[in-house]
Amino acid sequence: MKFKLDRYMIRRKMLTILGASFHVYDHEDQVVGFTRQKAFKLREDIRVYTDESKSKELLSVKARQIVDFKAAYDIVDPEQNKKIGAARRKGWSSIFRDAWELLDEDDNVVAKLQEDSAMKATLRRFLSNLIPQSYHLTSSDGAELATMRVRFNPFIYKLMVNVKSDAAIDRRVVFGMAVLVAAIEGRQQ
Amino acid sequence: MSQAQEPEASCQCGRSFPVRLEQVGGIVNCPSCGQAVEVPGLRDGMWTGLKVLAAIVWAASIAAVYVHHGMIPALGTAVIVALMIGLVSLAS
Repeated sequence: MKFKLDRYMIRRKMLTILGASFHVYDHEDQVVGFTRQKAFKLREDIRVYTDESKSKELLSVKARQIVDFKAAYDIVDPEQNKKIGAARRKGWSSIFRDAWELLDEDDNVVAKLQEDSAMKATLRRFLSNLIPQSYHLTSSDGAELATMRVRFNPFIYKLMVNVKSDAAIDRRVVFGMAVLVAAIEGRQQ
Repeated sequence: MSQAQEPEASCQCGRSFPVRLEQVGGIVNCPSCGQAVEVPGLRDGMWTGLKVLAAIVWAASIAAVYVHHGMIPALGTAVIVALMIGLVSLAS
């Protein structure tokens, strides 16, 4: 099954002992994905399944490095066993404002993901993490492809993803990016 | 994989092909069959740095205890620290 949704929500499951679990809901609130992030794993290896039974794998995201400061994550479609893209965290600039590069299967930059504004990003880091995060995914020529917004909720992490219907980008790669944002950036909350 | 050699990946289809340094530890598609292949190795300078730092702190703490109790002279501290850094560098 090829993931091609334009609107979905990634929700962190509450009360997960060690690690984190996320459910992916479509716009009709149906579960379309599930992932379990293991604790104490040196190198991040996130597998997304269609549901909690973990019988069918949707996507796999694997880190190239152990330290995720400036790490790159390869996104693989397990059904075809093909790398479909990668995401690379911009280490230094992410200290003040989260920034990622989305790469194609040959590691060429195809899009950039950035936190909404430098001022809000600074406020989130140094004053209060109650200001929900928001990200914009833009293509190399500056056209907006998608938005990712964290819904205000101090207890449950919910990331709303909205891909523009005419955006010329592989939905699976955006999905991989969104899973990473929820797993890596969501950890900071 | 030695440092002088160009990093390589080997596919199950039998093809071996060079990869870029930044792809070490990651996944690439085989140019012959198109299947995803893991590139062996790990290129993580920060991880090695953290391991060396941990070794220094660990060795220095042990040495400091011994020096404090007068069991070894200060020179011993330097020897232990140097040995630990050497061991960690070799392991990396």
